[in-house]
Amino acid sequence: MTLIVEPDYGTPPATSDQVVTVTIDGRDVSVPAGTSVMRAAAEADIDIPRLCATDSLKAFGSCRLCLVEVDGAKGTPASCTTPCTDGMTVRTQTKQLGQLRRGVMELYLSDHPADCAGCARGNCEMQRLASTVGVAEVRYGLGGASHLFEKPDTTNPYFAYDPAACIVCSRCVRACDEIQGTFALTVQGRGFDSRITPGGTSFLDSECVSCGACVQACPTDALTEKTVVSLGMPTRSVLTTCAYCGVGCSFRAEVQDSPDPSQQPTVVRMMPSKDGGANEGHSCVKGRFAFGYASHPDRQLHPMVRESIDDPWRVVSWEEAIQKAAQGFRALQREHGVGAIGGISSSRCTNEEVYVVQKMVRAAFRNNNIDTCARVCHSPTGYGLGQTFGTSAGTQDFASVEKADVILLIGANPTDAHPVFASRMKQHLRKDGHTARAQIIVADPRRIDLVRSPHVEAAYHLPLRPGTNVAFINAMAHVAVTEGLHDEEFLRTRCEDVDAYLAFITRPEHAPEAVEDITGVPAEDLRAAARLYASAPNAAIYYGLGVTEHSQGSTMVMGMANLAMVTGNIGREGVGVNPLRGQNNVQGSCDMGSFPHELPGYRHVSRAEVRSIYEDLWGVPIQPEPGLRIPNMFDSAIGGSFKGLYVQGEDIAQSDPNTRHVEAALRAMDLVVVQDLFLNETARFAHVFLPGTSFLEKDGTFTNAERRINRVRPVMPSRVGKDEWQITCELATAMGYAMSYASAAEIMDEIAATTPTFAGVSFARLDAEGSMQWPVTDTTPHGTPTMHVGEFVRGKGRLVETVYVPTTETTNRRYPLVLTTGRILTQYNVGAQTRRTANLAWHPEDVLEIHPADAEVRGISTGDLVSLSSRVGSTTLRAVVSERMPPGVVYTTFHHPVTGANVVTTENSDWATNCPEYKVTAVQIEVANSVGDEHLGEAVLADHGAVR
Amino acid sequence: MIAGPNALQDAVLRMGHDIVRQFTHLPSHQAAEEVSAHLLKFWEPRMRSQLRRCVAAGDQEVDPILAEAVRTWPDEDDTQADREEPSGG
Repeated sequence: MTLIVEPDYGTPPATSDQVVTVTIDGRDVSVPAGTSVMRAAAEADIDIPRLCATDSLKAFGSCRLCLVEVDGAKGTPASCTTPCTDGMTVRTQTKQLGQLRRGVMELYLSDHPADCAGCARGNCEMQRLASTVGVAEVRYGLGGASHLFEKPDTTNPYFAYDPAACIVCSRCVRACDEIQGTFALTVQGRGFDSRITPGGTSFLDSECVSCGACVQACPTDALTEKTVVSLGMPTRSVLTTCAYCGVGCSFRAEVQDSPDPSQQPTVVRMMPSKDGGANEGHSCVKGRFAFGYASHPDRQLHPMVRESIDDPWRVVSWEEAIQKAAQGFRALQREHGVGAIGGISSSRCTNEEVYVVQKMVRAAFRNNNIDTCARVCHSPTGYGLGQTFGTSAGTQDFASVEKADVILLIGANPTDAHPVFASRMKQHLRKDGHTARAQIIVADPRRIDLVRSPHVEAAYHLPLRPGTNVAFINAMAHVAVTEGLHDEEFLRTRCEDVDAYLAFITRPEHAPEAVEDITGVPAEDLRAAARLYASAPNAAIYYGLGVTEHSQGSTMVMGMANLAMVTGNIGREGVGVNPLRGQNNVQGSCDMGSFPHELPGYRHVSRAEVRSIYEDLWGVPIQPEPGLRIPNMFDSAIGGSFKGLYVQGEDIAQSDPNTRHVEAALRAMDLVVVQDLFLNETARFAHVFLPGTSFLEKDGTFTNAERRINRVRPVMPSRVGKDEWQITCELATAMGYAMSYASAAEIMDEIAATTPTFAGVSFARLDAEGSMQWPVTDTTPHGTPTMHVGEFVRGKGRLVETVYVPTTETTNRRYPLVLTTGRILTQYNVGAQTRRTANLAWHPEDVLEIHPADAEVRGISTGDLVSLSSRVGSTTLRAVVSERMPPGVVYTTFHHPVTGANVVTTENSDWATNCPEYKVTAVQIEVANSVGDEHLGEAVLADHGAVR
Repeated sequence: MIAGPNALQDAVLRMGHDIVRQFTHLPSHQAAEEVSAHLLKFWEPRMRSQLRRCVAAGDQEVDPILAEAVRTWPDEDDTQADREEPSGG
């Protein structure tokens, strides 16, 4: 139950086009056929009492409170499970119904704590209903059997389950099933003995993923957030957007204000908003519960400086810190040239904040040395979709998945990395009766959850070898074309270079049989999967960093675009090419011109007419040549020509590959300025630290993976005394380029005035619309859910000959295994946020997953400390033997700096964008005796002049 | 690989050859055209200058297609034209 009670119509809406009219309590109500009587009544503002029904779940009919009388029907049916029929007459309030409801309510209350005043929840539905139905006393007394003394389960760090307060309405069980799709909860026992259980174990040890859907659904305080118990109910609610992954869930931050105005408010809980365009009332453990990092003691709140990275930090004023940074940058430019400094903008900061960072670099630094963390994740998406479709963003909205007949999921694990979207996908994949609504093909080396989990089973799991994606996707397209499953009309009317591409893709070297030895995927499975995709009325591709973080990441994106065009799966709902962007505003950061070769809106810096827009507005010339990408900054720093760096909200010393190389580059710089919440790994090499703001303190917008621009509203004032965009503006001003804005809204107004795809965006419009998907233009004033309808942004879609070129990172006798990296549900990226929350309960360290066969030959068991080494470095971590892994491939995450997984990843990168090849590193695994007992990589030995 | 003053040279050669490998299926002149356009569109001038120096020095490690691509550049980089690739990208 949220502080702001959102409308709840009791049962989900019906979707029929046929309309029926019923009479409820004398009032005529017209609704789609199939609508429940309960919902029809609610739409007519007639409130029928209920406990087990809520409009996010299918009707269940167990609580027996929502009974009604229907003319011509026997008895008193439950209104939640009774569909409206044309001409039906219903009464919701009669003497008999009142008696029945009071009787049912008395029974519930007889086995429920009577101390309502002491209930933490404060707005219990039970309490409200007791009053509504008129229960004045419980005649059964307190001496009978009850569950009042059953022990609560407090194992979950975020919420507790108190069976004493549970009425076994099963909303929680159904929420876990229908919304989340984990099926972790069940009702154990029968009759009076019925109890909710997370599978016979504790919540912490169960399969529960702590999404909070059960807590959200619970009508009593049986399932309650621990923060509500300890802090009390919130008193204020602010609608904002999550700062974790690229789903961009809308939340109501529920807050307690301190009676002392000098004290910051306290966030009591984050409640997912039903009106959230991306999440529609659902959440995951991170967004729902892991917000405590914003007030963690590690939070830095004051500017700091030091002369050398070996000196201790010294707290100074904002003026001193900014002057040191500004004067230092200018001095470096005077000595080493304009291009000697640059900036990295954050994929976790708002559109407005990253816009002013790129503006500072272009207008104050006077170069294009601006890049963003998309460099290491989805920059190949930018290149590949830009080349083929004309714009570098996903083609659909999230809701589109509900119209897909076949889903091709490549190199992504949404149950861990985009959990709320995964839940939506799983809802669509689960059987409705005996028939699955959609089928899924999973192309991933690992047996991820979407291969097989409760009520979801992939039609095909294609465990392709890391580094062979392009061979795989070419084979898929080969099958589609050679078997006549391609869409000739779509190709001829909407694409160019068709004949050349068809001649290319039909060559025998692209056949599944020809690439079987390369990909490791049996030819007959690949053919069958290709036929399934190509034959489907609507087939959609969803992909992640298992596509992009390869030496041919960009080529693979173009290969997927080819496949979608070849089969006509573009330009309507249920299809498309959908990049699952990892971070809350990585899409926005790219949109805002955080790439060294593009101004906002993905317009190349060489375009004079685009430069003139900004030159006229900003009053300075813009460089027409591309600037340095992040990896180039490192190489140039070691080479001696790049001397200063401003880093906003990124931890390159932990997130970027080949940690030793990154650290050497940072050491080689004369001035590193870090703007962040915490003293992260990169700050070890910084000379100026500028404290940043968390999402709870920001005013601006994030853009999620479906191009949806959502508002981020301040829940509390900035804890550091400034907004982040103000800090950047002051730095630019101190460098001689006067830059200021009155508000974040004014920044968005400038973005809209200069960027065609954002032309119709403003804070006022977003407040009115809730959210909008760009492009927002005169012709699409409410946004654009589906792109390339009718024609591509570039006119015709471009088919590209995607030749498979093997990676140079190959295994050998010394390094016989392939390491691939990824994410886990409870931690986020470098862990800067989630490691400072109770999510550590689930993932306190990065572990190495290894197949049993590979483990056995090395004498490794689960829990053993192992040395993970590559040609560039080594680290130690604990092993987990897992049959999810294929033989020859090992897997780890990068959430904990102490593990330093990127110590072993190499400088190999995507040819077009330099996105690191995180997914393919040749490694060896050996049992280690202790942390630090690792074998040195070849590079380290060479540096030390040692021969092995 | 950590290195000193040659860090940028090593990097541009490695990245340049990565790009060349994507186009070796084309006739060499066409491949050089594609490589050249990509470098002009996406590479910062100092990186291109570093590559130019390697070619001018007759560095044996420079792939012939990469060298041909670099040799198509004018003495002064053309900063006027929109950076479109020959294949239309």
